[in-house]
Amino acid sequence: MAKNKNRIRMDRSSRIYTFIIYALVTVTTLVVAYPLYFAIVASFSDPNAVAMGDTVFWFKGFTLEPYQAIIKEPILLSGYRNSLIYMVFGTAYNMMLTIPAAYVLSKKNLPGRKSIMWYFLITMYVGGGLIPTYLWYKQLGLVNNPLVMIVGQGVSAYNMIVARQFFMTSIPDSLYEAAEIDGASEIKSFFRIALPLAKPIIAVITLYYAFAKWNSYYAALVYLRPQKYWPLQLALRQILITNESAFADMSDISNTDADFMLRKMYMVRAMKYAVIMVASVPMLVFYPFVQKYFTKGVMIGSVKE
Amino acid sequence: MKHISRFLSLMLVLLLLCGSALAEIPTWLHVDQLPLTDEPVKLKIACLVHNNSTDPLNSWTYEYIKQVMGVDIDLEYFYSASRNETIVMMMADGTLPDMIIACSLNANELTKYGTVEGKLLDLRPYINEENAPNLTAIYAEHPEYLNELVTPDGAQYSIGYINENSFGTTCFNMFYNYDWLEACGLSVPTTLDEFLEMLRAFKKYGEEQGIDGIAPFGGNSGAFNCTYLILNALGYDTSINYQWRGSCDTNICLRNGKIVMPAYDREVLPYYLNYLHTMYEEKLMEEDYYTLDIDTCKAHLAANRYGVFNIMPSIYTNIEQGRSWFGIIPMTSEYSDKAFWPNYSMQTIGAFVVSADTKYPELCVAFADHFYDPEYCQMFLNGYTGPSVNQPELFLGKTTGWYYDPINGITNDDYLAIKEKYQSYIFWRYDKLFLWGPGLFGVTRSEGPGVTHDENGNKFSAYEVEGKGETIMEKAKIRENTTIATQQQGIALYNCQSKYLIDEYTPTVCYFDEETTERIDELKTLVTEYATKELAKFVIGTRPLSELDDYFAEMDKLGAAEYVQYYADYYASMH
Repeated sequence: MAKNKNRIRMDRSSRIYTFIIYALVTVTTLVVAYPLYFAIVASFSDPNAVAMGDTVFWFKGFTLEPYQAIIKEPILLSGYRNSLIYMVFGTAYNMMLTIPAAYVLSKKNLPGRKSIMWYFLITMYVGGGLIPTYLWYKQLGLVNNPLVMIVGQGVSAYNMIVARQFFMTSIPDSLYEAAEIDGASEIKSFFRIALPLAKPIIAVITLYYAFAKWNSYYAALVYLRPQKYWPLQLALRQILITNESAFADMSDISNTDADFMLRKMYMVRAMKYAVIMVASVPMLVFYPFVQKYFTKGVMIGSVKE
Repeated sequence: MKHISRFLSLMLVLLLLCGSALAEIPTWLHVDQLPLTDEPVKLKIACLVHNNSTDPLNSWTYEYIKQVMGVDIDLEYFYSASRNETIVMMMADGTLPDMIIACSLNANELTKYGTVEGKLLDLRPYINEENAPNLTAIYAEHPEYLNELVTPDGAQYSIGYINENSFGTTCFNMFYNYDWLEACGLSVPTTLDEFLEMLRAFKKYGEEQGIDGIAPFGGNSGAFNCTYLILNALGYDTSINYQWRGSCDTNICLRNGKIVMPAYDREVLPYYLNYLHTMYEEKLMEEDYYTLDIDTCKAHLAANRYGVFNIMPSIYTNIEQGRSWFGIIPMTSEYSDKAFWPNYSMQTIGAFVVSADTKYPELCVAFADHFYDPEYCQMFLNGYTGPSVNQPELFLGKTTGWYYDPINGITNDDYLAIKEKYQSYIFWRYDKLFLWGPGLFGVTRSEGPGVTHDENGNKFSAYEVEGKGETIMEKAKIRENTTIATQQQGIALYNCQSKYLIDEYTPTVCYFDEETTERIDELKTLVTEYATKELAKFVIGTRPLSELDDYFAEMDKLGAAEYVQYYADYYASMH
């Protein structure tokens, strides 16, 4: 009863407004969540039922075969392993380059600050091109070398600018001045003051880099030939390709093999959805742990006080 | 005891000697040509490997090349997914390997890297009796293969993959549901009028049977396009720029010896569109024929909604359901009184190219030639030969090999020994034997369709099985006994279409210079996009056929005449 007394009574227009907002948020959430839900349903359903539109809301012809087929592929395990390695070490490498660069560039007294910023900015608009990059990597011995997935790309200019903005707006200069008076060097200020206060942006940038590393496949496609080095995304792509093209070479094979290959071709349609799940689940699990930082981090620079 | 051991050892030695004396080297193994070189030569090879090949450097073919052929190779391999990028980068970085294998370089790529940039070697001077006896013999027997390989500057930059074995892949596939034909009391249509009547009968039959959403003329305008059947009855042979099972009415093709484009053919297009429009109006084809995706098509096929389809249905359903289906017979119409079915070129170009900078052009050509012995190629398709051959030194220590089992097809004892590790024999073959995938390099050459070999090296055809009876409906009963989808497809095509095959087909390969290629690409985009869109409108009725003159006027403006003329001139220059 006491609770009800304290509640602010909304007038009619406010209630309508709130209802509309809730309705919009619900619809938006459904629009965003439904494709994922559909992928789950489709990955466990009969491929023909999926194509006929019979799995809009619920499973039809429930089957685990697509997942069984994917799990049996030896490159799946190595793909997971490689992707994890590339993500962990690659993200660490990116962060080691990005955060110090952002911190330094947030200092207004840095000589040549504008020129250095332009140097970074240009990379956002002009790329090196595939062939020059390939030639460069080849000279560095990175072709067919898994290191290319870790050190191939160092800094994302966008991420660096976001981090720099955080250092400029969220940590007052007076803090650094006080530290300086107490005898702290720039390096000490960075490690003892800036970094501890930059947890939100570090979390956000880490997430950006980690997602990018997890989803990347093109660099591996172009620079890594041995399957043992392939990341998960490329391995999954290969699993679909090999099953899809199974029929092309089916001349003169046995009945058992023919049936087996036909079944594989049939199941590949459901495997497409299973592949989405296999690739997404680790990130879906990972995301809630950094969500609180993420919300803070993406707000950086958006509000002027 | 000691005497017994000695006696047994002696007996074993004698048995071994007898066995060796009895073991014959297969006639097709030209041992005198091996190794290809006695010098310590290292060749750099780039090869597109099979997608299922997990470790090409441990494949049997790789070891065979090194140990038996005597060529030390530095292999750079890649998979089909990165084929385009790899080719571009190899050509750009100035360190082109000695040979590129199984990449199927197309006419534009061969013109660019060969004629224009001079990065590829003209192989013509090196393909002779001494370096390449197999290829020389093939080109002597089939000069048309050579014609397809020689570019306008008179050079031959590539060797093609030659396939004379796969009847089903060198001509269009098209099938009817024979169970429905029998149920409707019909025979296979031989004219377009009969075809329309058949579709109407199928529709009525399907509705009586309660088949939901029946569309007798199956497929869509994309990968499962069956309109080729109608175009063929109107006299068209679409094989220039022929896209596998895609749309045909905007392709350049031959009709009555002239190069035309069906979508720009003032004589026949009105009839063709009217015919399709009738089919659409009477709901004899899919309502969303022009937007339907392939997965939905496959699902509709499995739901038994179709009576006509362009791929053996058992591939997308199952062998039982597929037994309802058998081949079509080419039809005639008021525009074409000759029933024909084009038997396309069995060669794909660009299978093998050599760097212009190689120090060993003769060896490279000899290397390629090795795989153009049909028997050798069979070996590289299926691995070392059968258990009757006992020549371990030629087969890297292997004493057993592939053999043909009438029930189980081709199999191999080495596979059977580790069967559990692989999901199927074919995966073992891809992983352990192949370096490049089948159908990309070499020759599959035989005396007839579907011909293969038994364990004794005797040839036989799995497809050349004539159905019993006089009429095609009687012969088609054979479908009830087939047990493998590919065999069923082969037998259907053999019984129905082999009599109608013609050798005069529209060329599949055209070499144009870079400027012309650019202009053709530009025109093609404009003309085909407009035509595709407008033809669909005419068929579904959103644009009346009375506006066909306006349509042709727009096609004129877009440069359709110029586009067709490039191909007409090329064809004229070839003949």
